[in-house]
Amino acid sequence: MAVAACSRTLEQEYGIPTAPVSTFEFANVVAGDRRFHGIPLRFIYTPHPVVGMPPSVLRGYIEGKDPATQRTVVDEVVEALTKPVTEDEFVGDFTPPSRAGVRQALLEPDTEDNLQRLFYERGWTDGLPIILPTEERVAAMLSGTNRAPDEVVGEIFLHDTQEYLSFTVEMVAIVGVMAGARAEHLPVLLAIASTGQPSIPGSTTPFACMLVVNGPIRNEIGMNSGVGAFSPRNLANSVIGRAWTLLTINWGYMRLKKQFWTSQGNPIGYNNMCVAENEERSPWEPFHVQKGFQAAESTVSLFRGWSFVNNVVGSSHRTVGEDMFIQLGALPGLYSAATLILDPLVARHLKENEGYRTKLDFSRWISQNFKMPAGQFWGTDLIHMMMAPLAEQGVEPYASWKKLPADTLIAPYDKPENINIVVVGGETSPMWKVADFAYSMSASVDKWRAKPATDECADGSCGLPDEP
Amino acid sequence: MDRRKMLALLGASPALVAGMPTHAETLPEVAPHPATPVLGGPITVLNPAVTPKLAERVPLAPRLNSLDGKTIYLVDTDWGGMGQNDGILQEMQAWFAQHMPGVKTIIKIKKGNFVTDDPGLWKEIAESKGNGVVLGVAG
Repeated sequence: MAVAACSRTLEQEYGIPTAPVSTFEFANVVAGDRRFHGIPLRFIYTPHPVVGMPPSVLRGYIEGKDPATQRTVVDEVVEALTKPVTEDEFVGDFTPPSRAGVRQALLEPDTEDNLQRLFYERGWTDGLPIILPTEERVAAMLSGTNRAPDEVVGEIFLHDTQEYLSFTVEMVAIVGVMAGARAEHLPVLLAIASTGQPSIPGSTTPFACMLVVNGPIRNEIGMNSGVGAFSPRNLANSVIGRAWTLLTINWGYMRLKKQFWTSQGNPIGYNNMCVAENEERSPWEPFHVQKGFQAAESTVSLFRGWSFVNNVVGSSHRTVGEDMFIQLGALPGLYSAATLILDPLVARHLKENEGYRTKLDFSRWISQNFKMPAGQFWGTDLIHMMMAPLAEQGVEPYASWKKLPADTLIAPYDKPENINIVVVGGETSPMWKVADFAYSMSASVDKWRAKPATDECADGSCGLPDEP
Repeated sequence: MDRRKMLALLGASPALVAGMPTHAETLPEVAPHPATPVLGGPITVLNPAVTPKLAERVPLAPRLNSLDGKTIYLVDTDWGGMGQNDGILQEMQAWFAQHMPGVKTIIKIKKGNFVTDDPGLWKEIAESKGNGVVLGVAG
């Protein structure tokens, strides 16, 4: 939590007494922060919200009661800065929570129905039935990697509690079993886990993520990159995508009003748009090769944003790029990030008929030619919140854009390298999706495999149906 | 009407009509999960929970004897974007002026967005002998 983090800095590094203030909406976050970060910050709460309230209401907030204590807010501010620090300020806040302590490897034996209920009530699932992680199933899952069960895969940081969690190969395997994954999927799950990236980050906004698999493993485990690749039909796509969210849940990101704040949520979180890139039908180099991997390597690439827009019936009256401009106009353009998900028909049309030799060629064209009025750009609250501070600091081109009249056109996607292109689809129609997703990172799958990729599959062609 | 548009309206694409391959998916045979338990009987399963570490306790900085004659910075963390959220600190400044005139208050807006640090501001407060800080407001 940002207010807590700044307060800790002032208290610990500068020795300056600090009175942090938050609305009562975030009281649970603050409690966790006090508990896990070890410093009993003297938080004061006002009613929620503060943003957008008129001065008379705000005056009432500070002269009124703290909803947590029923004491006057301004009195608490004075007291927070002047009341001597005592040892007993730690008491109460530092009782270890239920998640802390020694982890029991096995749960008490029970019936399947009771265990399904227990897993849900403990907040370990998405609410859909799971495959219960018996010792036999987890052992079978672990055969999918050559790594030791107790090897630490990664560590994550939770903003609400300011705590670090480390997780092992076995813990990822347990979650994989729960999601319905098979041993052959485990290297992909370990690669995802190794990033430490949650599929549903803590935010009041409806964050959504996308997961793209590249390289030979796509076909070895039967992932769908073709017809209906984003639809709920393919086992590997379904369970790998779900497993990422179950990992996220297991890491603590879905604790209500502690890390999980999204006001409306986002259904993408059920599966995280888990697909493989259709490398075989793409005219361009695969996405992971763009990111520095070899074509024969297998990787997962993660993307994060909020929304995507579908093109529904092709583009016969405008060029593909011109149609995309309409869709890009509905997205904020934050940090110049966009992700274009093209059916192979569209990708090949762009290369063969419009002359874009590479993905980056098309991204450059989008970057240079898509325009938006400066007023529309800065008038988007997300842009204003995240990028106006950069303008104030003199970062270009934002500083110059901020000074422009509202109707002056700017090219908000100024960094073509941030306009990602992935080729997915079954060529039944020239479709595409335009998303506001930013590329997060890619991770190697091969390092987690039980055995190296076979020569047969090194070109990504194995497992494909025979040509008609 | 051109061919492309006509086919689109028919729900088909030129590529489909041309008989191009449309599939990059294979559906492997799926074996049942090992050792499927008998429904109704007791089952032993592994615990999926990850255990966090508790932090060591760190004390607060020493507090002030009183606020009289002190300089208190009111720092807006910029929740919600620039200039959106310092109204409550302005009201707090007015309250101090009215009720505790011996306290000097200075409003500052933290640079960057609400999740970024601002070491320059903390240094400025320390070097200008700021005695205390009111920091917020999230929400």
